[in-house]
Amino acid sequence: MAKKISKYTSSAPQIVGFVCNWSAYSGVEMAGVEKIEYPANIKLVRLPCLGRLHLGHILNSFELGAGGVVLLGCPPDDCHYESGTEKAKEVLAQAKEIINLLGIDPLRLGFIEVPIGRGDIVASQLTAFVKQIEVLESHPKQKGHAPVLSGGKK
Amino acid sequence: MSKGVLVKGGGRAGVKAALELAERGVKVALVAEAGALPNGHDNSYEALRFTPLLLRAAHHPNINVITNASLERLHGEKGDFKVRIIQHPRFVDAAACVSCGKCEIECPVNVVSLTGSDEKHKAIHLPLLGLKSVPAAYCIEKSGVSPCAAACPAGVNSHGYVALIAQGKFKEALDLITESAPFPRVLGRVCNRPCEANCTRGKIDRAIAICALKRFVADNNSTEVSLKRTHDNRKGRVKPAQPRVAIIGAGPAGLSAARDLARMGHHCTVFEALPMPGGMITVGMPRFRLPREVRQADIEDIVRLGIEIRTSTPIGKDLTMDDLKKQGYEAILIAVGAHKNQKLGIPGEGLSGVVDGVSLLRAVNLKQPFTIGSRVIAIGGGNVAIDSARVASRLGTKEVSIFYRRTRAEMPANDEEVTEAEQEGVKLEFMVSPTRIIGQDGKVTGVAFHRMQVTDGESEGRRHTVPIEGSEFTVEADTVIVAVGQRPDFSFLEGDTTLTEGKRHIVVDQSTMATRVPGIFAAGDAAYDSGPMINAIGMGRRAAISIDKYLRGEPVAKEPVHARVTPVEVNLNNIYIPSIEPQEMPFLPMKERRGNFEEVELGFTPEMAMREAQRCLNCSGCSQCLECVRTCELDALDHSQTAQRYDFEVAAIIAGKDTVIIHDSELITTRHGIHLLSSSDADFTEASSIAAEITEELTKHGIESKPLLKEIQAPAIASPTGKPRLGIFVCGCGGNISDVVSITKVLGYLRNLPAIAYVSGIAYACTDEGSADIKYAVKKNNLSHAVLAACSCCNFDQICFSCADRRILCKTKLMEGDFNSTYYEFINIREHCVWVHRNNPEEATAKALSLIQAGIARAANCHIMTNGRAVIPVIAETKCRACGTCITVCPFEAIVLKENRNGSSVSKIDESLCRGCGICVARCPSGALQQLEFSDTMINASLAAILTKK
Ligand SMILES: Cc1cc2nc3c(=O)[nH]c(=O)nc-3n(C[C@H](O)[C@H](O)[C@H](O)COP(=O)(O)OP(=O)(O)OC[C@H]3O[C@@H](n4cnc5c(N)ncnc54)[C@H](O)[C@@H]3O)c2cc1C
Ligand code: SF4
Ligand code: SF4
Repeated sequence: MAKKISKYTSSAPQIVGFVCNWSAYSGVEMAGVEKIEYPANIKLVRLPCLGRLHLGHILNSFELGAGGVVLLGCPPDDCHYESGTEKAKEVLAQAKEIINLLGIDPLRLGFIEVPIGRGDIVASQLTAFVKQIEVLESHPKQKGHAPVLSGGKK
Repeated sequence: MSKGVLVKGGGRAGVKAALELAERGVKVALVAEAGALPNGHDNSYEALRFTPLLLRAAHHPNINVITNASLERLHGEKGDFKVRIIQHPRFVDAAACVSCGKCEIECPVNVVSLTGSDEKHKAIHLPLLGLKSVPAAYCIEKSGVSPCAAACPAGVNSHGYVALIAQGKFKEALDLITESAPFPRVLGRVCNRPCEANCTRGKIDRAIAICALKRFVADNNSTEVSLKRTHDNRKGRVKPAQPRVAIIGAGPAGLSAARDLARMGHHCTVFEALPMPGGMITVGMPRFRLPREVRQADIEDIVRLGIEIRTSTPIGKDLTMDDLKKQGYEAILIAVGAHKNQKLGIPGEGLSGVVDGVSLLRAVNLKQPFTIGSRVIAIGGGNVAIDSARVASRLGTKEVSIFYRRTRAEMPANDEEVTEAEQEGVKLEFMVSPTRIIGQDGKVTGVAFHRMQVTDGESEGRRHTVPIEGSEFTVEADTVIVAVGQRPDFSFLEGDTTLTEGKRHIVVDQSTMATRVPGIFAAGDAAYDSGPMINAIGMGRRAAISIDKYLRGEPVAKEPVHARVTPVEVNLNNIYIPSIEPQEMPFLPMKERRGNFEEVELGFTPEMAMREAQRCLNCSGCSQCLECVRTCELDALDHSQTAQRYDFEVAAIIAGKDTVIIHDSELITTRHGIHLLSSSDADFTEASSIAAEITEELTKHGIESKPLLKEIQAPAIASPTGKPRLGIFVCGCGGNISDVVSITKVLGYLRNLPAIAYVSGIAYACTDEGSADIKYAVKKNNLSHAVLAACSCCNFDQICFSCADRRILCKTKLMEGDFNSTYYEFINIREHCVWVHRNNPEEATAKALSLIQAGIARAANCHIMTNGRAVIPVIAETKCRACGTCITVCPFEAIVLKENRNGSSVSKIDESLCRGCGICVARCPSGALQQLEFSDTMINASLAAILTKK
């Protein structure tokens, strides 16, 4: 990020959230409408359904410097496309195994189930997830996780 | 054949039926009682799930949504109904309001929620579902004019200023007062308060101290703002060389007229007999009630508007009314008040020691010499009697008594004044009438009285009284103050009775204040039997309106100028209103009152004022303080809106079971052609079958029921030729975004990025102007891609649970015309950034910027659209290996294997079945499937933009 605003970009870990467009996204929306706050170092990427998520998207996030990745999906029985959440959970399990192998604590990968319109859940769970990442960051061994991926490729 | 269907009520099922009809090509009038389409009372699971359907109905070209409306009339029968819909005013232009909510912050009135809960909302508020209502435009709860405001003869909006004071908006309150009447400081002390007499709280415990509140704001705030506003109003008006209006008398009536005329741009001269302006407020009311500086300040505010007052210039022998006409004055207002003391008409009135109240007060006020004895009797029951007695008691007399011929309750004087007089030691005798004044050597020694009793009959609304036989008694006195009324001195008319028509005052039409001589008007005590000051002001103001019309050559119509408003009535039977302790006016201690003229009432403190004002019940809902009008940058408010009526001819009617339908004043529940929806919410099967039945009927009668689907047009991107030209627009949302995120910083940063052709801030992107500005910039700068950071989230035709009315409008407006080939990338920085990080503006700014950069990255990587629905995957046939993975994972069986032209098997997507989840895309092992709007390139570009490698 350029100099001009880097001065107020905090040193907090960068966290990526992948959000399903339906229930989960409406939860994110309602957190806004109800003005419930959560940490600003989470940036969300919207998907049509969490079933659209590919393992590669998660790995790429870590590769690009994410300190944590969280998936925000609908309750499985309320998936707009029937099997999206289920599929995302498969990807989640796979991803956890892989990052573990790469030396990234699987705790850095989270999943939040968001019923339609529940801004309160979105805000509280995201806050909790950020806390968890911050705890991991404060642990010296956990530092420098990002290069592991690049290193592995070489 | 154009006859459509009326859908009235029926909750969500009604909306569902309307949408089904509309989609089959039937025109529908969808009528909702509330300010928004029905969708429950809170953002519940059901409500959010139903929102997309509601939005589709609201934006369907075949549906005419009428909110805030009910059925007024219904005639006819199946196939041929004539209906009349009445739409109640919302007082906000729903098309213009962007629900930015600024007005709600400023609105001082809290009203109890309609939902019956304890919840309160502002008088201006969002419909039931807040921002998720359809439409989400604000509406005002206003049932009319509150009783206090309706009672003011000068048209002062008392409810409005009480509401403002309750919120600590003191300056605004004073502004609102001076917008209508002058003399706020004086009225705040001496007004007879018809407002308080009508205050609804008076029926519960005690009326709001409206008058004392006016005094509080008038004493503690500057009137500069209202003066400036008045001057601004007059800017650009040419001041005529010669004043055209002459006003005789500089009392409250004359000065109020002069002020209003000046505000309307007229130039007038006020002629005043006395050396000082103000009339009875200067020479009548004593200083302990009305300090000199106070009335001085009020009079100065008026003079400062550029009004010329010629003091010591009586109209009479030396300068007649004819002279004024000859000097070129086209209109004359007679406002001479009533200064001639009425005599008792009993023996002894000529004795030395008998003085009239008005003269005594004038002498004291003008510091003229006069003598007063030690035993004083005042005769009368009005303000003059009480004021004279209280003046006398301050001048070291031994004893002061007031004698009045009726009861205390019947005294015309202000009640507080009578109490204060008593506290100061003035004695009061009621039901007594003087028979003669007794004297010796030409000097008063006493007064003889009769006791009075009540008889049957009334005159002028008061009971008749007659003397009791043999009840005469005498009271010793050396000074007798006669104060039984004043009448105007019309000596300047030189006996001409054209204007008085033989009456005690000048005869005028009370609504226009015009006399029967064109160009001559009268106001105040001269045009009425002496009354309170606020009436004189009201008359002065009405005269000003008429004089303005007269000067402009318009007919001075006999229509009421301050139209008599009917106050709203609060039915106290059905609601419990707890009593709230009123604030007591602090007084000057008794021992400090004698021997001086210090003001007795000391005024409220700010805390007392607010607490007192908070006792207000907001009878009418909205207080008409007009804070919302001042706040709204989009001019969306219209407090003058009235009910609208629409007539429709419909072939069929769908109504909720609970909807009352009146037909020839008869309540009907079933009738041929009226379909009642029994379930209002969960079950839509009934709604669908009714819609199908009606469509079938209509088709039989020749109505074309061709599906007419209108969805937001997807950007049918023509391949942006050459390099994309990117423009970025950032919406401030009327402060909702710009108050937190520094738009200047964001724009400044974006401007320095390479490959950005255009950067601009927009006040409100969703308004006509906002979208026009964006489209203009797109054209002018030849942009192929526009990134809009506002509250919209996507650029395609899908309406999901998160969507909102205003977003659809915003997107629709931007793509209207030949702009549907512009690639728009929408980024919601309001709900997703500003509102969730609003206590952290710096980080919110940084995050907004990074979200915008992700949008730029997506826009730069967008693909050429091949179909209207950007989420339906496209297949790169050369990459497809026909492995069938997609077929197994697709939840909707939308994919099959087909042979292509080359004879090889490839996957094929049935667009009518595909719902765009992208599950197949994520699982295709060869990368043959891609969603254009959520392509891997785009997702990865987003990630790259929001993440920084540390
Ligand atoms: C002692 C007293 C106490 C009062 N207390 C209250 C109170 O507590 N509350 C309340 O609401 N009302 C009160 N009033 C009534 C109130 O003062 C009057 O309603 C009000 O002043 C009437 O206004 P006006 O302009 O019609 O007449 P005025 O105030 O009487 O003004 C008329 C003006 O015309 C001038 N004038 C007369 N003849 C001529 C002429 N020929 N040429 C030029 N100028 C002329 C006079 O000098 C005077 O300045 C009180 C009145 C008195 C006398
Ligand atoms: S300020 Fe105006 S535009 Fe904004 S919400 Fe209020 S009424 Fe609507
Ligand atoms: S006029 Fe005043 S009280 Fe009425 S809605 Fe507007 S701000 Fe609220």
